[in-house]
Amino acid sequence: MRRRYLDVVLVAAAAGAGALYCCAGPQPGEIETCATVDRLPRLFPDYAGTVIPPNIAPLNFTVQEPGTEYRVRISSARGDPIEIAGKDSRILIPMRRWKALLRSNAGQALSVDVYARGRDGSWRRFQTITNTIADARIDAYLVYRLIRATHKHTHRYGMGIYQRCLENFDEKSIFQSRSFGGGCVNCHTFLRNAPETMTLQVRCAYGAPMLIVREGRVTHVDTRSEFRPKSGGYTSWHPNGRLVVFSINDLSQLHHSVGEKRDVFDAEADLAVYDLESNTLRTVLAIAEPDRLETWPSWSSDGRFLYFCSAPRLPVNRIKEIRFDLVRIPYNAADGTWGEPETLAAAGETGLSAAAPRESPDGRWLLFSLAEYGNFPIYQPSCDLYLMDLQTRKYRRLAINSDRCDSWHSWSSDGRWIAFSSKRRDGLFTKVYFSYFDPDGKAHKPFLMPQQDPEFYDSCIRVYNVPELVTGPVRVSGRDLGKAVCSPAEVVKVRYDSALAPRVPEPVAPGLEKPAPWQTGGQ
Amino acid sequence: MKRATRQDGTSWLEVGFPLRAVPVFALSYLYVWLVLDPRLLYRNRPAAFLLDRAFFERFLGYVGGPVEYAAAFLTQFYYYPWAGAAVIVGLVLGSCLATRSILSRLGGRPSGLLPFVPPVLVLVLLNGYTPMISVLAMFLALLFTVCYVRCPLRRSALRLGVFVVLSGLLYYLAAGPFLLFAAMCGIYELLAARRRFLGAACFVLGALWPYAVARWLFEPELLEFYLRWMPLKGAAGLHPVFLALYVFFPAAAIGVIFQDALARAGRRIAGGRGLRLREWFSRGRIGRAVAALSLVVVVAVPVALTFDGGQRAALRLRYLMNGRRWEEALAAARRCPVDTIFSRHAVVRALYHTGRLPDEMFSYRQRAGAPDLFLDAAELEQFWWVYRMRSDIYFDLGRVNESGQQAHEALAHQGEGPALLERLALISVLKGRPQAARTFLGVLEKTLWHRASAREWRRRLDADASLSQDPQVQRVRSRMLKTDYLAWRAPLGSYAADQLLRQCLVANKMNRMAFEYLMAHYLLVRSLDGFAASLPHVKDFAYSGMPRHYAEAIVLYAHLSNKRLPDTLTRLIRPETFPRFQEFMGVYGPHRHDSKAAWRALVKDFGDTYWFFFTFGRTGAAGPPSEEGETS
Repeated sequence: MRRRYLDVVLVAAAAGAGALYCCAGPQPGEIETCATVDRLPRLFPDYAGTVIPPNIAPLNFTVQEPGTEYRVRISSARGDPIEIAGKDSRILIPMRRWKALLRSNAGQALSVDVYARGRDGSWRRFQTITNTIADARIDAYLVYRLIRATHKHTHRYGMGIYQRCLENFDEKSIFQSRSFGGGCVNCHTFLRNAPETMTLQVRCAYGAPMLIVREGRVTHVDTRSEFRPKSGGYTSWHPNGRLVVFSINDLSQLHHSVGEKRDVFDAEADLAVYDLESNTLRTVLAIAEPDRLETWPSWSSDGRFLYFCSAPRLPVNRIKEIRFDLVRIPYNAADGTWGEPETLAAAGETGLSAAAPRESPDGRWLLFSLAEYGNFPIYQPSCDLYLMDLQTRKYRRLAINSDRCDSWHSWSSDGRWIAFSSKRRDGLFTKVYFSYFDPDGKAHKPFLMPQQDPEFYDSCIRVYNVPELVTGPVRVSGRDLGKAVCSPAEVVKVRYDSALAPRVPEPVAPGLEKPAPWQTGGQ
Repeated sequence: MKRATRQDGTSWLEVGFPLRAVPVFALSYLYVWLVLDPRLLYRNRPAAFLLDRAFFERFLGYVGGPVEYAAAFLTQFYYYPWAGAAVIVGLVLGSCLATRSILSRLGGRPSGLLPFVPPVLVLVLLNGYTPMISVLAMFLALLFTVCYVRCPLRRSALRLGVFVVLSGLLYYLAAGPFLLFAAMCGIYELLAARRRFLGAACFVLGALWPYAVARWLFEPELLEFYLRWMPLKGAAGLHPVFLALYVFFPAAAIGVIFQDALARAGRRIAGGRGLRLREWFSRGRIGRAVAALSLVVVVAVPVALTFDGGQRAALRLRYLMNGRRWEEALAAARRCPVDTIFSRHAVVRALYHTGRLPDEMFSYRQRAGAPDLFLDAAELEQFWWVYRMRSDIYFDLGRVNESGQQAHEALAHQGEGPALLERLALISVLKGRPQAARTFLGVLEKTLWHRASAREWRRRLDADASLSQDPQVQRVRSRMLKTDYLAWRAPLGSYAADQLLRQCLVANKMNRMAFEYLMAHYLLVRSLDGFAASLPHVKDFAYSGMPRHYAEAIVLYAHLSNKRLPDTLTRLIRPETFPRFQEFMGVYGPHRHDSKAAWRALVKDFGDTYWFFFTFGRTGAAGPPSEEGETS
């Protein structure tokens, strides 16, 4: 009796193994003889000809070629190749084997061979995809804001700041708008890519604080002062960890009836520097001129310069004429003195509007964006990333741009990787891309942030904002952040030091106030 | 005194429980299916539900999330009214059985009519088209209560452990209704099982649990942690039915625990009459049949009395509008007992789509100066569906940017509704973003009932990324704006309604909807100058003669401005219009200083004319000002 059962089990096992063998892709003989297609296979995401970090999560993809079965072989100079076969066009790469392959082949080529079986039963082999595994690791975490493509009502399913471990597929919420009863949370900024020190700007029914996270403590800072009664916006940490510069903007949303629907008008923008130790807010005329808009502040990596964008104030009906210069101003953190501002890229020369300057960690390069007009690049289809060599002051449009909006860039801690948002896929939903930036200043073909399910983006109607690379996980809890917003143990009200204060802004020229209803036709 | 009990100890009221329950729930099923019609809720407020792990995980991160997920799933069955009714009545029946189980455990014997009280109250709630989630959460609390009171463990420490475990689980699953569970457990332990310490512990832990969780998670709205999915407070103050429902359970529990004492008191007051009546009911088939019938009546009367015909009519009107069933929508609007800004908006839209707007607009309820056409008043945004309605109207007009914006707002507000996803996909196509359209269709493909539709759209997109052969896309594309008009306040606040419509006509002078809406706007705001200035464009459209209301406005304009009409215009006006206007003036003249008398004299024969509307600021169908009953 027992023997009979054993026979049944053995037969079943043999049949199963046979079936698996048959389903596991082309047999050795078939591979050698199968037809070759003289082009690369179509994959989504497009992971072909790119440079990838040695610590990135598996680049799962879908083979977008017709077929009834697929086989993929991923190999490199050392280690066992990974072979995946099946009827599903989604190729899910085993995590452990992928990591082992990448780890032992840093600096080497990574080959991907794709086979597809047609309806007639014959196999086709496409040209081998060759990627390069970089030597440089990418910072392990990416922090971004996830939001719907709405204008308001961002609270229902939550706007939130999330962190994603790039070495696997773990995504965790850092802070959700639900934690403070709904509202806006934005502009997460880190000190030199370190997750322990960050700022967040919040706007909600409990106020509009800047949250400062340092050494596990969250501080609620009310940055509104006699200088400007508005809260802060774009922020940057000075490398000394003591100073934070932020813009104070008077932003309004505008709506186009043709093309990109949303736009933003900045009626007033100035910069101010907050000293955390003395709890003092300071500014000078050079970064807060009453008749100009100064925004997008960013410290240089050594803290000796402050980069920002500057444009003349114009009324809202001339919004398409507002173009920002790229400017920097020397700063001495020891005594708090400022030098003379210098224009690095004048709007008059570029014909475009600069935004979001970010200096590379080695101080050699400046990455910024240029768009047709205005200071809100994410709504500008024309927005592209540009790179300036700070030694020669020459700048160029990066080849990694698309014909749609590319913006919200950040550097990795070692300056070898760039993360940025792009609408290149569909023109509507921004997604995160990474590009390897080599020592010669070349940004290599970017690749889309991998997801466990390669079809994830096919139904993802959320927008990824402000991707910031950080070296580890952000450990502050949403609970602590929520508590700091809604019932803080202490509200730190900044003290405005007017010793170096610029002139009081002159009354707004006619047409600069909130615009009156349009009487005329289109622009 | 002898109790009316059977040999097996059950009371007369328990005899034939299924016999009496079956007709009650069968009739409830028919009522929900045929009268309430779950489709109205599904079509008007489709709860988002996606077959997707990410969607599921969205509900796991907060207390009460799982029950919201379950409610979203069950609500999908509203798509088929018979299935939706089955789900609803299943919940009603479940709450009845759970109540019966709890009360019989508390009272030591079955508890008669009381289990039918929650079904009655739930049906009364459903009369107001209450979302399912609150009922489902309450049902879950009852189920957990059944588990607790039926738990065979006797030692207090063990029972406390069971209570804590069930509390943690239930609070996470269903949030607020956990309080009901805690109260019922406390009552059971304190009064029925006489475990006083345990009973007190149930109450104390029940009260502290939400507080502790709120402190632990730190979410600012503490009350929300107690009342989530317990809508005791509605928009108009306390919700009496929900309040009654939540008060009922502890009250009934206490009642059945002390039923002997209450029965003795009752017998002292009623003498032997009640007992004799109960004996008659429990004896023989006739008595039981009468008892069953009585129960049906007892359930049916409050349900019938609280049926909200106005709300149903309003929901049905929106349902028909969403389905673009214009003729039925007009009929529903005429029958609708309430006059709201939404019903007037619906009438204008349905009349346009049936080609009758310039001829019949004033046959329906209309009021002067109301922002009915675009529903653009900010205060209307308290009604979640206004975004969808705005999106519809802008889409029809060809203002795809504004339509998309409103659809996005609606999506954020109510979740991934199938109609919204389809709308956004179409807008993406119109804006030259076929890949974005595919992304919206990717979400649509994860819904329960619209996968085939999503695949069909995708197939068509693969064949032609611009959907150039689709008539709807063709029509809207031909109307799309070509000039960029920058607006300051969302959605279109910088522009007056007539400016918006003129912008549409600049883009395409053959945009008949924009023209008729522009004329309707001028007529509604009684701007005859604006009307007259736009009138020459009437020749761009192939009307067979001058539409009735335009003709009435022309005659009125000529009369008020003392201008002679050009012959080219006069020829287009039906001849009877002129004597009819004279007749109107003849009747109106003697009453010009007494508006009530004028109304009475004119409403019958002229209530559907523009002259009447111009005079009184409302149509005859809208009723005289003194009889207002409108809401917005």
